[in-house]
Amino acid sequence: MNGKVMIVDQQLCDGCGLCAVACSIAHTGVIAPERAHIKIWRVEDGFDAPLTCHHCETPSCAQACPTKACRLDVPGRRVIIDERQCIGCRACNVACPFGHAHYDTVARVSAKCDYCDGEPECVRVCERGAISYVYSDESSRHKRRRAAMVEASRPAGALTGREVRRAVADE
Amino acid sequence: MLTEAPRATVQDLHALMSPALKARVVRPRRGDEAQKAWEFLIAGYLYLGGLGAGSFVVAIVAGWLGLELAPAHVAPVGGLAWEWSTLCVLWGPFVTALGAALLVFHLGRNRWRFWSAAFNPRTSWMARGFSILLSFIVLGAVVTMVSVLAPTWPDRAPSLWLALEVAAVATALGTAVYTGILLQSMKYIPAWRSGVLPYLFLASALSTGSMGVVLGAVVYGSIATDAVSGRELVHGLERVEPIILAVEAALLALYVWRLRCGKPVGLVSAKMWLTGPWRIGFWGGVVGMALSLPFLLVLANAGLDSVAVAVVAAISVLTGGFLLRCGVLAIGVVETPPLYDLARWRARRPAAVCDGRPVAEVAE
Repeated sequence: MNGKVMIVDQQLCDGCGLCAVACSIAHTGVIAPERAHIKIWRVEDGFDAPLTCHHCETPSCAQACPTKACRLDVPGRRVIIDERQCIGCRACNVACPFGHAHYDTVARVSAKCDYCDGEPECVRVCERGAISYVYSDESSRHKRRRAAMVEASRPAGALTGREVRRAVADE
Repeated sequence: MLTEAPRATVQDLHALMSPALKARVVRPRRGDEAQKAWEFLIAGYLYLGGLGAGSFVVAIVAGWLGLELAPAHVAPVGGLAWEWSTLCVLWGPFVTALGAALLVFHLGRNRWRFWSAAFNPRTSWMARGFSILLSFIVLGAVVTMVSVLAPTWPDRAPSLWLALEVAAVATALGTAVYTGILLQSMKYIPAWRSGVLPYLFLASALSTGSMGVVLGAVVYGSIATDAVSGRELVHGLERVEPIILAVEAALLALYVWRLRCGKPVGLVSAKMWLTGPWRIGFWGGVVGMALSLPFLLVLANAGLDSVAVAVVAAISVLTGGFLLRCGVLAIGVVETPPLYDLARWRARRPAAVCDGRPVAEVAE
């Protein structure tokens, strides 16, 4: 909203899950993390990746929507799904490369992150500051500053031999 | 859309967060997974759409070539002279309508708003598909109902009737191709983003439609008083079916080959189908039931002239055609951009040493 974007720093996330629970309460009124608009994937032990909508400039979800319930909200610089227009065809679910848009089986419409109309709940409850909501022109500076802080605060020698060998093999 | 529910504080959320709840929140990500949003109902929609359209095209073109079900066979029903034999071959629009009903059943809360999509074809391929499908159902139903209820009318206005038939066949072909284009329009699923898919689905629609018409002719032959009714139509379609099956097999081979040679995720999809969890569906269902078995049976039946063999071949093609759609949907693995470069993530951690030695030494 107003030129702001959401940034997730996976290095800071400890997978506490407060963001997903708060999101589900804000959007559905109940504790149902399956219906939250932010997902936390355990990519591997010790690495939890919160995944939220990237609000793409050319959103493939909006291109696939037959009723244009899913559309680019230009003034807010975000992609929204109007649940009054959504017919639940799930084309946006299939079209999103990040698998973000999801079908809410209770409301029977597709749903996705809408930045909570400018005050994201996930940002409010994230104690470690892994999710931040900043102006887009500040985002890269924010990322660099955050990365420098992380590098400075971590102890050395944190990886096991197996992890390092796998990392090197991947590279 | 936000609710009016009171916002929870961080302390409240910590108190709520039990191990069971946390297990629901944090879910394991197991590498490349196929999409789960479109499953059997959409497979049924694509299949019935293609089957109905293919059978309609085959029946109309066969009629143009003189292969019809005993056209003089008119039975008086309810005081009207109904050409009810036509219903045995021109059932395509109704089957496609059944497929459309599956799609509507698959939709969510505002499912009846799909009309708005059907009348706004500019929005997306799904909306265009609604329009093409509806055009075919309406035109095809008109052709069928006129053929059944007023069989003498086409003779009175032959050019108008031909134009109507051509328009209906064009929309039917559009429907058969559209089922592939709908999947092809999903650009982040390499298994679907294939230019071969619309032609493969068209070939499958024609092969299943052709065998569906054969089944209809066999049913008609079993209830008609004239014992030879439909025999010529069955023979004619059995001569064409091996050619359609051969084209379909070539397109399937091209589709799989391009998957294997394309993007890495496409290779994952190909492996899922050829050697992975869907291998029985591919080798048994698609290669066996949709292509090989009916090909051999239809060729053999040229000498045998057996109704039972024709029925087995038809059922085999119809089952395999459905499994083809199920398989293509099931291998739809999304190509996610590299958000989480694990190697980079690990390297960014200040773990320059491992077991007391630098990382570079361990690598060597």
